[in-house]
Amino acid sequence: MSRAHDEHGHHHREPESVLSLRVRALESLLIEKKLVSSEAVDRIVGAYEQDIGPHNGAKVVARAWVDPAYRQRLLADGTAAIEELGFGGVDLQVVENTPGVHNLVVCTLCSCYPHALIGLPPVWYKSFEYRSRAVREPRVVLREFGVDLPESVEIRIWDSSAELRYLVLPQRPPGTERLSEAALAELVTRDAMIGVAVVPAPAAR
Amino acid sequence: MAPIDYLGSSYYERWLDGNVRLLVEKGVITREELERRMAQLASGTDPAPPHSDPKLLERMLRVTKERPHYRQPGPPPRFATGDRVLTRNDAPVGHTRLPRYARGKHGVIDRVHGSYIFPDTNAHGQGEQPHALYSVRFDAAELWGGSAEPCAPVHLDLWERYLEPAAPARSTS
Amino acid sequence: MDPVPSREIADMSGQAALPRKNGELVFDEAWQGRIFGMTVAMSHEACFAWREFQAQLIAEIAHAEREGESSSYYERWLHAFERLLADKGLLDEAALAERTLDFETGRRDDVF
Repeated sequence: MSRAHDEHGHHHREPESVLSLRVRALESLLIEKKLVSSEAVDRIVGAYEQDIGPHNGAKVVARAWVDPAYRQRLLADGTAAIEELGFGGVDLQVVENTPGVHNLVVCTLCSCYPHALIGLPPVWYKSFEYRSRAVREPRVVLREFGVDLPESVEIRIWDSSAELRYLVLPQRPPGTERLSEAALAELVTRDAMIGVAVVPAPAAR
Repeated sequence: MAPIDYLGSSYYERWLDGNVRLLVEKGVITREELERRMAQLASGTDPAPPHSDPKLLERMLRVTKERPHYRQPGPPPRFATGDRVLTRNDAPVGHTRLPRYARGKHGVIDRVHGSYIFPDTNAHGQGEQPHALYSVRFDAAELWGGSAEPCAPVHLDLWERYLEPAAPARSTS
Repeated sequence: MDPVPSREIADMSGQAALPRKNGELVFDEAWQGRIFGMTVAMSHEACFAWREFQAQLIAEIAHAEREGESSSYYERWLHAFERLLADKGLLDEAALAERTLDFETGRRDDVF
């Protein structure tokens, strides 16, 4: 785990910013007073920089894309299926996008969110505007997010009013047949797992 | 400096823009709910109070592999997938998970989730009273009326106590 | 084992919301991560309630906006944190100034 001083240009010539110096000084004082430990700070920063994010959900999606039997288990019992991959602690319902159905997740009552799988909720997800409009005018909201769906596509809105959390299984984009599971996971975004985006086809080489 | 000053008039004006007025008119929110939320934000009383557990860092960084405690055995479910139901229309006292926009509406049972602790009673010290939780599907037109978008059904997770059986819909096509 | 972000951090909203991208926090510079980590660590040690810090942050942001300051989110966070610590008698601003000078002049180097 990197320590602050390692990243503050021991071996570089550029001057350290005033803010950076002040923060180092502050940490040093707080450690002396035993109000905080460097290890605790390291762990928190590490968790938020590396561990908390949508990569867990992306792994679940990629596995479902490559393994049809896993996909069936995931749709039937999301809670158990994600435990197979080492994720847990969330009562999960996975809803699948198809050519005829697009799923969108919201929590009108508060802002429930599957943190363990997709990290921190985007600021807009918790906004009054999203929470009230996603249920009422989903097609317009999606268009604002750049997802234009014909009226023939059903938009299913899932308002997580109880303890179940919802995750959208996006459609696998075309042109990805040769990609490894890990490469597929890299394509999956948090927004696609909320339902306000689709996973785009990878850029042509 | 009081937080209320942070929510300056321009912020409040945003709340009162056309969309919000429409939502108040349609009963998605009431003016009281809006003002209550504003007051919450102003006073800093976050609806989700922080934990005071000293081991919170450990819990924060760890996910339990146990099934969440809110799944508890309860009586057999009354409804099955495909049943038509009507949500209750009385304004409940206190905590409830039935959003206002879905009160007194017809829906169809989409899935039987199982038995869960009932927050309406649990939050008021009346016991956990776990019972059947369902995914209920509502047509957009049923919720929002004629101006609703086509093909945009809303699914809500609702406890059995919010639901009554409803007569099968007459065919409209 | 998968870490779950604390509810308090996830619930910060509006201008007080932590900068993030695709579900992950964004720290443009290392000091931002450090000050974030320090604040979270101390709130877990019950030096202060998270809500107290949140109120301080909101006040700091509002003040900066009113004064037309172009300070960044984490600069405001730092000021709010310092103010909170000072209010609690946990920080002496003079000591901080002196310690900052120590680091600037190279008299001190490591944060132990």
